[in-house]
Amino acid sequence: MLIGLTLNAGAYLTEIMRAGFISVRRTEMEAAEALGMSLLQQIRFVIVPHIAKTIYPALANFFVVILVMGTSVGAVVGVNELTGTAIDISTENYRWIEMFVVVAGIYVVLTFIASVSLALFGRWAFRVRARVF
Amino acid sequence: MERLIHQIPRFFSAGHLALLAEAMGTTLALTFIGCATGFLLAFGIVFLRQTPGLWALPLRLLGIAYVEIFRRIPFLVVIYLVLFFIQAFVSDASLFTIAVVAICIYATAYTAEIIRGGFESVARQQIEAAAAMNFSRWQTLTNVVVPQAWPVILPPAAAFAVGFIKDTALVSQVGVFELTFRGKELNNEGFSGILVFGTIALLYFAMSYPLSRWGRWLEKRLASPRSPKPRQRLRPA
Repeated sequence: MLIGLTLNAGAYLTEIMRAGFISVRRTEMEAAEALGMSLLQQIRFVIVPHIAKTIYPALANFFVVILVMGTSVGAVVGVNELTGTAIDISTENYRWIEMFVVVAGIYVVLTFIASVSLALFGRWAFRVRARVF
Repeated sequence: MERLIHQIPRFFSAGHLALLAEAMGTTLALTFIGCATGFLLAFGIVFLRQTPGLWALPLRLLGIAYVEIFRRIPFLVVIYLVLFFIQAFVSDASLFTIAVVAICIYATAYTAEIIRGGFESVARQQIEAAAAMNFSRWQTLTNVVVPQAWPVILPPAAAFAVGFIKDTALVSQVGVFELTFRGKELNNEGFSGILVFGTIALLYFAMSYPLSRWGRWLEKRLASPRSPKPRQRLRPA
């Protein structure tokens, strides 16, 4: 499960990173070169701050999506996470609707906490003006 | 491995291929019926959400709550909720209908966000100008907002629908005869998992790749002169 999730996330994250790298403008690099920065310095002071700021919202969003979509798929192959446990319990006592309403509520609360704290962290760390809603 | 090679001719028999083709049809039908209906409902949700006035506050809150809640619940949980809610009231509902309803609910929440983004891309002043010219809300929507929001909405909506082809695999959990379910069946018949699910993965790719190319073409075609140009490469490859 973890391996599958890693492979899938790797593919999506590559796309996000690529967008970040492309968004570094040529002139920015030229300016850095004109200031006499070495390649390492260029990476440290120009590329990384720029990329961190541009891709942070996408990364935060992806994290929440994985939290919601990705992990619950684990139930299908029998990992005992939230959805899997819910299925297990309700196959025993047949209270499907109650169980799944509760699980849905837990997911809403979890992702809400995650997205709010990620948005606040982004504002603090990278000055990303992310909207919570 | 030897067993796998041995199974190949038996696996790609005409019967199995017909079965897989039919399953692909079911997957595509699920996606398109669900996403198309979801798209229409999402328009309604956005319309509710943008109703001005104090009296419409509950309507706006309803729209926001719907989108925020269903975007935060995993699709698998939505499927189970829909399954048991529907079975509690209609005992003989077909699984296909249940799956379509689940996809519909989910797609509505996601496309509502896309449509809202498109509507918000239209400058405020234009809506104010329409109000000044005594356009009704519906006229403003159909004559001012939608024609301009359309090219912003369509590409991400198409991307969502294409991405959703993969997510319909989860519907196999409740036993709809779509591609992944057939794959499980064939696997249970004794065919090697690598062979079966490798083929299934290729079929999913074959379904979604042309559609995503079409989406990219659409994006290029609909791009207005004002929309951001694709960025230049840093170094020519």
